[in-house]
Amino acid sequence: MRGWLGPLAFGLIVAAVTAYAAIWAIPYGLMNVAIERLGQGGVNRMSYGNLANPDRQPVVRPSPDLAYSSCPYNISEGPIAIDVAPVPGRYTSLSIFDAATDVIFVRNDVEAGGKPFRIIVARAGQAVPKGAEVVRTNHDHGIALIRILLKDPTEIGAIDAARRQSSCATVTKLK
Amino acid sequence: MAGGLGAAWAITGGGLSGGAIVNGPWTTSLGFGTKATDAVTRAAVARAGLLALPAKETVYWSAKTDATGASLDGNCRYSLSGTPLDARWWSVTIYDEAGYLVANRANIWSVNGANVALDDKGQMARRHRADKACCRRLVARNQGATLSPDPAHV
Repeated sequence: MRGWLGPLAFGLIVAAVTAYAAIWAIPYGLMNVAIERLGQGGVNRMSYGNLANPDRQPVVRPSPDLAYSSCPYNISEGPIAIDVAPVPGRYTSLSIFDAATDVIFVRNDVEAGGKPFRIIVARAGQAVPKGAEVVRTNHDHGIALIRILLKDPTEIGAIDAARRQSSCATVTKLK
Repeated sequence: MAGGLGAAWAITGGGLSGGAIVNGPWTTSLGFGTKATDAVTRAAVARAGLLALPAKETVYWSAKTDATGASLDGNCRYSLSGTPLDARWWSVTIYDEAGYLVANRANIWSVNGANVALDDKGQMARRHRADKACCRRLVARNQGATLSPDPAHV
């Protein structure tokens, strides 16, 4: 009777540890998939996506009312700079997610006073431009996402030039 | 080990529902996207709402049932009614069970504060049309936004 209690207990412990490890790993795995899907235009570069529709949904639960611009980043070799130019009269926000899916920065157009702003994303110890606004992160990989609210889906063409004023690139100058 | 992996997938499959705050069929959590969120919530949100904004920026309410408690059914027509939400902007978007936009002939997937029609009392009453009607019981409205079976098809 007691011969199988040991293996059963061991099996349950293995299952519990496996479950916890898997739960911990799920966000990292899904971020990797999102980085790949949103990074069709390259890493450390801003891609200006078309509106989501049933045929084009890079991530789950996209809003069909928002124009998304995305910059999957890799700062293992140095910081990146994200320049955000709010589209006049439209809700515009920048949000940065690290590899664990945690939000490490959010700012919208109202908080920015409607003015352009630059954010540097860097690892601890990396040199950054003097006087810059810096977000330090513990992960090399992540995604910077700009959301712009359209009054109507047909606006996507009209605001395209404005939203391309926002960009993402590796930092090349520290001054 | 297989049992552990299966359990992990099942535990984190709650979607954006099952949150701590409930109002009728709507539920939300103020922990989306924050570092303080526990591992299970973080994994569940990653599966159902990757890249969701934190609560100080956006609050995501989710409903899987109508006001009667019946599961939402793509074969049914629903009426969305209530007072426009007090926010800079709001929208109601319909997703399938997996969380993706559903192809439909009208190419409409959402209604929002900028395009919703209001009656002369400032209330919204928008019908979401399905390709087929279904028979549902008429139910009373709750306060706030309500997703009700279309009373025209009792």
